[in-house]
Amino acid sequence: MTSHHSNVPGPSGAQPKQAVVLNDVLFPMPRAQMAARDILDQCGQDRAVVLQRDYNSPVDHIFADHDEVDLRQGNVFRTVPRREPVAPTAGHGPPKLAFVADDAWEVTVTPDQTGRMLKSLLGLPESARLFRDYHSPHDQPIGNEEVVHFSDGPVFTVKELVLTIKVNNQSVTVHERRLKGLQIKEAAMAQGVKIKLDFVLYALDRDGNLGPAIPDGETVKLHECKGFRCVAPDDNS
Amino acid sequence: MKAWELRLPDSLFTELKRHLFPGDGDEHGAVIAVGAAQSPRGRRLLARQLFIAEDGVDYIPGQHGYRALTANFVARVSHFCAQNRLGYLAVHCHGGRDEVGFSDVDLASHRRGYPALLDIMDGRPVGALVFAENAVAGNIWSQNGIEPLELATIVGLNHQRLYPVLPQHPTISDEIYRRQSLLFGARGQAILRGAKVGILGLGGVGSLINEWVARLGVGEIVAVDFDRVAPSNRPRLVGAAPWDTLDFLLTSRWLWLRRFGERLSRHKVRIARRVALGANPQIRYHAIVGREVDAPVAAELKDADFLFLCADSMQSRLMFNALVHQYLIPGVQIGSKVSLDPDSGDILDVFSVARPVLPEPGGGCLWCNQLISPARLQEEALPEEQRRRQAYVDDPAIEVPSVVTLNALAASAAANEFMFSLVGLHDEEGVLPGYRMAAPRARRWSKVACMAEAGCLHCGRGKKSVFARGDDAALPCRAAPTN
Amino acid sequence: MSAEIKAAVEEAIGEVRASFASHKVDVEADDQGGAFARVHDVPIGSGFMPNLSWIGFQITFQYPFADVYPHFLRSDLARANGQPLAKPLNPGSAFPLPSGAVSAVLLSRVSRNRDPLTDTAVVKLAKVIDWLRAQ
Repeated sequence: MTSHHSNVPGPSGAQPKQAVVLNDVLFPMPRAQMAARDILDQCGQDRAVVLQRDYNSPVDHIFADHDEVDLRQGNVFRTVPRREPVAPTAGHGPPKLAFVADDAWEVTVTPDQTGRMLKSLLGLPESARLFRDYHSPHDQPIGNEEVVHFSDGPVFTVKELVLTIKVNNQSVTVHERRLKGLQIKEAAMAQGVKIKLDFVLYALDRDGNLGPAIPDGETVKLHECKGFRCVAPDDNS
Repeated sequence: MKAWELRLPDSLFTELKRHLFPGDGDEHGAVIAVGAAQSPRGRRLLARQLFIAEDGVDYIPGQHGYRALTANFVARVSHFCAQNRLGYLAVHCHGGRDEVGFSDVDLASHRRGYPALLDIMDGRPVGALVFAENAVAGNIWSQNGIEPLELATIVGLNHQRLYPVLPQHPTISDEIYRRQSLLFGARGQAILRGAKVGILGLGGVGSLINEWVARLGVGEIVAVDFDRVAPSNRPRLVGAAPWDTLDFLLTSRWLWLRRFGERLSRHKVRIARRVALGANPQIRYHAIVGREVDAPVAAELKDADFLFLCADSMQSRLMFNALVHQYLIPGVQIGSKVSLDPDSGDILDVFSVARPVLPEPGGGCLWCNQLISPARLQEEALPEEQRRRQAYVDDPAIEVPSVVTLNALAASAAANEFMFSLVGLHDEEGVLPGYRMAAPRARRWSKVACMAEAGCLHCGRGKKSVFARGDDAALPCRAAPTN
Repeated sequence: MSAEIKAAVEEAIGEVRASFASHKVDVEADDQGGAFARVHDVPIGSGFMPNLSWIGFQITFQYPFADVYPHFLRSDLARANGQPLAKPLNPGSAFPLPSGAVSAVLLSRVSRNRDPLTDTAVVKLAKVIDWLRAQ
């Protein structure tokens, strides 16, 4: 991991927003350095568990409750049952790092990313306007060739996003990276795709394979889908 | 707008019919993935693969109608069709026998769901079929709108034809065909009159087939041969006369006059045309001086109802085999052979063979039965000079025997195969024909069972197979020179 | 005269190029949709002098059904042991390129029980090279 441990304030001196992914759930955090117990409390975890940082190796590090955790050194965690005393660990690989954009995150072990790499990681088109998210109204724009460091803040926001997806081979324009099934159908219908809201939606993965039916309330990560199929539920042919 | 016809291989139709009419009187469903072909004669949908909708799983009680295909089934199968560049035909059944049509519920369902399926199919046909015991109706959705299916032809040992309403068949045929129509009726005569037959090679065997098919009253013949008649083959060509070969030029002592005479000798297809018109003045006859491996010639054959392969090149065999399987056109390959001991001249073997080829696994595919030599295909593609240099050309001093009566043996078997198939009078139903081989010296006919390889690029169902792909796959034609 | 190379022939040439990526590969269209290909500087084993040769062949328009043979090698090919070239090698031949025939040794090896799906032009070329290296 790079030795870049800055906590570079943003425009107007504001601190970058922080977040952790605990047990595959995203939680915002108030600052980069916190006690392990405080992190668990913010995530609603009881005392039966302790915090373990997820490394890209079989060996992960367990924190005692009072240990200070620096999120700039990795923000992906899981909980493990408490066993006293906490066994020390060493020799782990690089920590997993969760970059976050508008409540969606992707995990990598590469702390330094260009704007282009970050957009690709997050499934954003190159034309998307990416900003580092600060505790202030003024966020920092990130250019495609600009290098961003994880330790400067892992939370980003996307403005004026325009994504084009395919529904039944027809192009549909949307403005969010994650949509519920019903929202996809609504957007498609509004843009002339010949479906009805009671049609059944399916995603095509990146290899073009058809997935299972998507319920109306299920959230879909659009950048993971090559396209969608939507067919009538009741075919009396 | 040209009519739509659906062609189904017999085995696929048998499986479909067994599913739709198991004897319970209930409604059942399926989907057929189809290739497509277009020609001036009409548009054909070619059944390539059947997807049975399992009762209670894929075919369930419907919200709007009695039964419905589930969304999961429709999505899965339509996705398969789209990925494999095939059209999509949904199928279900109604009661009744000789007449069938869509209900209002069926039509409303099409209006509801088919625009989306058309988008998924990206320009390929989408449609619905409804079967009764002896009828089928269909609506085909395409970029041209919604059009009805005119008929379905089941291609097997016996051809069957299904219509939305069993047509009133003629009861009286032309007086000149009265005697033969006592066998297959005025209906059979009408079928022959409506048929288009391709004859590849108008030599000794092909000229016999040509006359007989014309005399049967077939409505249209496409005859393909590049060759001219010569004194050496004139005795075996039906209708060939001495003035067709200008013998007085060909026997001149002047080489240039002999060459001139060769250039003026009549093309075999022109003689065949003369014979056919003499037999049936109403026939539509296309005499093509050319080779079936040329794309414009192959295009004339792809909408035929039957093909006779009477030419003996491997390129012709490959093209014939491709047309049969890619366009679901049944055919027969015909040949006779007399092999002699090269040293003593003794007769080693005499046989005549008629090889019916149906578009089915085990239907007689020439490739699966090793009747198309990959080495000879390569040799035939070379210029004659190069073949001679690479020693592929047989010694011209050694001629192969050819006798008109031996040609007639296989040709008549093939012609009857065609006639009985088209009018549906073969005894056996749902079986594969097998090759018919005559050993005339032993006065014996035998039937040869045919092999099938699952991975065959013609009769197989693998991804790369051209089976029932119609215009979507390339025929093994040679490209036209560009400069 | 030449014609547009058919898709199946183009695919075969692509496979040859991919398998011989470090070799120069020349391609000339024939007049029927096939193509002549020549792979240069192929090591053909210590049984021959020189032991590097170009290998040429024609993929005809009905490939993959048509076999790919014969193959052609440099005209000055000789046995390392001094013995004359014997069948299936035929000296004094010519690789009939549309741009002009090239003197060559002809190697004629017909495939038996050919499967068009697996017995591709590049597989045939590999078999020819194996045979040469085994001499």
